[in-house]
Amino acid sequence: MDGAPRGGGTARAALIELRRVIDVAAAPEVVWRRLWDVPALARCIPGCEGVETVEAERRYRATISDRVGPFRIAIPLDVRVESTPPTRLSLTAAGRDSALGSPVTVALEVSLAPAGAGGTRLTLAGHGDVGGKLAALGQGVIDRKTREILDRFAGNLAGLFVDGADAAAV
Amino acid sequence: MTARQITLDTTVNGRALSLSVEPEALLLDVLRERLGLTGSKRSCDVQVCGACTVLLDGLPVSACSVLAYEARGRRVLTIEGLARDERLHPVQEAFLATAGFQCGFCTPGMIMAVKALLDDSPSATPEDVREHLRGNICRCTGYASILAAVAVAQRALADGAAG
Amino acid sequence: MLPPFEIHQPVTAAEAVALRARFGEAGALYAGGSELLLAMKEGLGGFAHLIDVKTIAGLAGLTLAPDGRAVTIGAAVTHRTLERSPLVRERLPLVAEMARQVANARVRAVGTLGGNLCFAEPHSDPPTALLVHGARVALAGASGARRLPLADFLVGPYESALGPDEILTHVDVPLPPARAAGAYLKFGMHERPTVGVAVLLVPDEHRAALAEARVAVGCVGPVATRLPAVESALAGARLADLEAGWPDAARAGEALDAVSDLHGSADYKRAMAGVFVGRALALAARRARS
Repeated sequence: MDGAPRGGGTARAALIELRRVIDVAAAPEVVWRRLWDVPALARCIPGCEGVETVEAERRYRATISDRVGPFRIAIPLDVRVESTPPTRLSLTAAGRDSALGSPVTVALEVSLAPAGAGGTRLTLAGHGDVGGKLAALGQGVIDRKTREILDRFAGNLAGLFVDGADAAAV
Repeated sequence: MTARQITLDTTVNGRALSLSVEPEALLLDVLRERLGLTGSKRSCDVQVCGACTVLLDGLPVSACSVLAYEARGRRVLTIEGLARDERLHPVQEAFLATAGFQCGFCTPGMIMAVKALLDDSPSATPEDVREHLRGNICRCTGYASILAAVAVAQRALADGAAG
Repeated sequence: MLPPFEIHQPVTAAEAVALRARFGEAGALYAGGSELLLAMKEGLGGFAHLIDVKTIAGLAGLTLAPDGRAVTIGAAVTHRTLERSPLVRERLPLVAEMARQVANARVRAVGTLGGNLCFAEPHSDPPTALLVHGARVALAGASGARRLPLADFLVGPYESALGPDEILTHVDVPLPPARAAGAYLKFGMHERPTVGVAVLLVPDEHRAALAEARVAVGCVGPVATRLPAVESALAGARLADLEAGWPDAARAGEALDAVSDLHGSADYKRAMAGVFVGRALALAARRARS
C-alpha cells in the first residue's frame, strides 16, 4: 500500500550497531574532563536539546530530535552513566519517541586511550534498539540516521580540541 | 459551527446535503456517525482491507482514509444507496444467490468494489476481477463464492441491459 | 483519528509556494493523502496546515509535450489516470503497466504521482519505472522554477530534493526510442512491494540484438536506482537469448545497496532482484521481438 508504517511491522525491533573511533588532539585527562562538561558535550550531539542533570555524573535527561522526510521525531531520553576515570564511560539511554510512543534504547561504552603525540583515541562501541512503529520506518532509515548522527558527533567532538585554545586553557 | 469547520456540500446516495465538518473529518466517520450509514465498516484503517469501500463519483475509495472534504461537490455512493424501491441491486442479488459472504463484514465494501468494476468494465475477465478485488480482504476466505457472485452479476447486468 | 488541521486551497503554484513559506514545518503538501493521512493517523507529523495542491490549476494535466518528445504528467495526476490514459498507454506503455500495479484500486483512485514521488517511500512503484525513461521533475519555488533528473530528486527514504518552499508541479517523461519495449514486474508478500524491476530494451533495426538496455530496481534499497553495470553487460545481447533467459540475471542484484526490513533481508532482496530482472528482461525481449 502506498501508506505509512503499519500493520504487521509494529512489534518489530531494529537493532543498530554503534561503533566509532575518534582521534582527538588532546591528552586523555583533558578529554576526560571535557567529556564532563555536559552542555559542551550536548552541543556535539546533533539534535540534542533540553539537557538536565538529574544527579551529577550519574543521571541526565535529554531530548534527541531529527527529521525523517517531512516528519520530526523527538525522543526524550533518560541517560544513566557509570564511569571509571579517566579511561571508561558506560552509558545507557532509554525513552519513547513523543509521536508514536516507540521504545528506543541505547547502550554505549566509551573508552579513552593515549594515542599519537599527546593525543587520545576515543572508542565508542555499543548498540541501539528501536521498536514499535518507529522501527517500521525501516532499518534503512534508522541505520542512515544513526550513521549521520554518529558522523556529526565524531566531527564535533574532535572539533572541540582542534583550536588549541581549549587545550591551553586546561 | 466553529471557526475551523468547513461547509461540505455533497450528494450522498442521491440526496443533496450541506454539512459542516471539521477539515480533518474522515469520510467514513461522517457517513457512519453523522448520517447513520453504518454499512461501510472500519477495519484496517490503512487502505488495505477494503471494508470501508464507497464510491466517490463512481470510483472506489477507502472512506477510512479519505477526508470528507474530498466529497465536496461530488457524489458519494454507499451500500445503502444501491437498492431501488425495495429492489436490491443485481450485484447484491448475485451475492445472495451464490452465498458470496459468510460473516458479512467485508460484504458492503466487496459489493461496492464489484459495482465500481462492472460499471466501468461490464465484461471484465475473471483475471480482471481477481486483480480488481486484490484490495478487498475476506477473512472468512469466501473468495470462491465471491468470484462466483461477480460472474452471476455480470450475466444479470448484461441481460438487464439487453432486455 | 486525525489531529486537527486547516486545509488551504491555493489556485496557483505561487500561492502554494507562499503557503509553504508561511507555515514552515507546521504545513504539509496534501494531494491524494494516501501516504500523508496514514502517517498522520499514526501520530507522525502533527501538521496544523494541509496545503491542497489539487486546487492548483493545471496540476492534473496530462499532455504530450509541445515538441512531441515527452509526456508531461501533472503532479496531481492519479495512478488510476496513468493506468487508463490512452496517451500513456500508447506512448508510455511501461508507465501504464506500472501504474496498474500500484497498491489497489482505491489507492490508485486517489493517490497521485507527485505525492508518491515527494513522499519518497522507498517501497513504491513509480520511481523505478520512471527512471528507465530518464524522467525529469519540475519544481516551482520562491526563487523560480527548476528541473532536475528524477534520480537527483530521490535523495533517500522519505527524503526528496524538494525544498521547504517548493512544490512539484509536473514530471516530464521522454518517450522511449523507436522499437523500444519494456516490462515492469513486482513481487511482495505485503501490500507494498519487496522488489520492483523496470526494464526498457531498445532493439536494433532488425529487432535482433540490443542497441540499448535500461534496467532499474526499486524497493530493495533506500531509493530506486538504475543498474549501469547490468545495462552495459547487456549491450549487444541478442533478444532471442534474453527471451530464453539471461544467464547473468541471477547476479544482477549483487551490487544493490539492499536494506533489511519488514519486506525481507538484504540478501533475500538482492536474490529476488536478480530473479525479477531476469523475468523482466525475458518479457521485454519477447515484446521487443513482436
